[in-house]
Amino acid sequence: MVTGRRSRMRRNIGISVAVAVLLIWSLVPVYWIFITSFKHEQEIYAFPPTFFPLAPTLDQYVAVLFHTGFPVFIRNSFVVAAGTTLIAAAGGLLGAFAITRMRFVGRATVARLIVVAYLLPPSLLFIPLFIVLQRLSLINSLPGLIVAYLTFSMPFSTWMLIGHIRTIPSELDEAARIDGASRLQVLLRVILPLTLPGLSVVCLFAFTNAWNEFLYALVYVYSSSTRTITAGLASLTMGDTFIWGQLMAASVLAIVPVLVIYLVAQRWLIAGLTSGSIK
Amino acid sequence: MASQALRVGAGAISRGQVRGGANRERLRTTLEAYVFLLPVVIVLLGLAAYPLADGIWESFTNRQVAQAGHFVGFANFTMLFHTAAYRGAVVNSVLLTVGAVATKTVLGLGCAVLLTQDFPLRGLVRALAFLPWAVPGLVAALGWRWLFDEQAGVFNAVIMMLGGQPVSWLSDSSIAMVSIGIATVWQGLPFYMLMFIAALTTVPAEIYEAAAIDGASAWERFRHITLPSIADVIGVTVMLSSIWTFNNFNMVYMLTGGGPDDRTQILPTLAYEYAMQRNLLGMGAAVITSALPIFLGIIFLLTRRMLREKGVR
Repeated sequence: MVTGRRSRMRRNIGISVAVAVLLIWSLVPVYWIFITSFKHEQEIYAFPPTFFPLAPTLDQYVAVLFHTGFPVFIRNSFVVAAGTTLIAAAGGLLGAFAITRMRFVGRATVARLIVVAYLLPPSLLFIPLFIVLQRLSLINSLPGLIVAYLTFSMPFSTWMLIGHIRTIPSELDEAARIDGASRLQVLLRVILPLTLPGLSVVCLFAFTNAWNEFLYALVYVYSSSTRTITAGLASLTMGDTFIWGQLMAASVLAIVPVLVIYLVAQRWLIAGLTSGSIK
Repeated sequence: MASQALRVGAGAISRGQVRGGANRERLRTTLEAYVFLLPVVIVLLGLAAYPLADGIWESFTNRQVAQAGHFVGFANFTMLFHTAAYRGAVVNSVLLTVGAVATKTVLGLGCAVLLTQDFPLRGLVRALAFLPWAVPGLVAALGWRWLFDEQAGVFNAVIMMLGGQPVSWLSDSSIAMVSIGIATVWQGLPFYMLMFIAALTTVPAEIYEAAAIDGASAWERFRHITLPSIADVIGVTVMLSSIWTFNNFNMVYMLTGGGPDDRTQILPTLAYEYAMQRNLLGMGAAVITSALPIFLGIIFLLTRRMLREKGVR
């Protein structure tokens, strides 16, 4: 009895210490970004550093929002992420429907290509895609960046939606077919309503992935009117001088939309992420 | 035997009549399917397959940003193999990928086991531990650069407060690769935790109880029950993460920019340097193409597995 209680206590202490270490490790960088963004210029560079802002201020945000091109970057990121999401979700839904519900020549090959394209990392494609966009005169434009983002978000959303649509019993659309519905009607009236939860998760993923992307943005958009948040953040560091207060305030602005999505939809996002490769 | 022969015979009779109709039906379905698949196929062929092939082609040319190139054979590759920056980038890429993936696997397993124990506020702790996953990669890189900052960064400040000497986190090339590795692990660990936790929860609790009654120690249970039952998931996670870690352009670009003296370049940042800073698209493409076989190998293995799981073959 006594040893049992003692070993349980030891176990609890062990868990508490491990959890504390894990939380410190996970949260310190994020905490430091937030804290820095609310400090005055002198306090940011003070030694010893303050672990909580002594005189919290919004100066850094004012500077970023009113004295840099950042508002335009934010708007561009929204346009690009929303455009990418819309096209990828619509195209993905149509494609996933065909893959899951129709027997046709080349089905296995297309399915295979979708997975391969989803797994291709941007660094393999950024040089030849640059040439493609140049040829289409889409370089340094928001539509061009959307086209580039479709390389990963279209296969990704198709792949995720294949998983969702597969779980809908096909008796439902067979019944609708017998009643004379066309395939497109089946998709819009039967499948779409049932796959809406899955589709919204796919949209959240597509949006955050486009919002977070950096390499394509760095290479394909390079003027103050076309840069997105990530490319804009990098442009604020031009040269070797880092204006940390403004950079951290800008970082917080870049994190917030993603963080909101994550906090609201965490459960579904995690289920979606793991289902792609476990179930 | 007789009935089988009969069936074959009946098939032979009806086949001629049915075939025409069935084929026409199949053709119709195929055409209709590709109408549905049109956006996906355009992306697959125009924005993935074609650029991939074109990238390989460009690596055999001396193409520049504003200038069409012509075929130069293996000249780009021979040039690269004789360049210290390229050889260094290969070594760095391999070390970073192997080191970070191994660390993430071990830590990920530990964290997953920890986060599947029963303790108060477990849901909240999980949500906070996954937080780095929700931070945009570039912002994570920028945040770490600020932590590592050698003049005003908090790491050196704390070290100095404790009476130590400031560390050259990013300007000393041997330390810089480790710093990049630390930040890479921070960013990637949540994915491992997610995957491993999801896998652990599928292992039936009765097996553990039975093993515990038989007197198996915690380590024995982990070694002989946990590891074998999630080995598959570990494999997939490691392969996916290897692709992403190898291509972690953001971290290196933002932390060191490949410097000092190209000593922390990895292949993607070196390709960017050639293609975009020096306008040598052909050379940049060659850097990427030289790593292509490994990727296509991993992607081939992953694709087979993922298709099997979804039952689309």
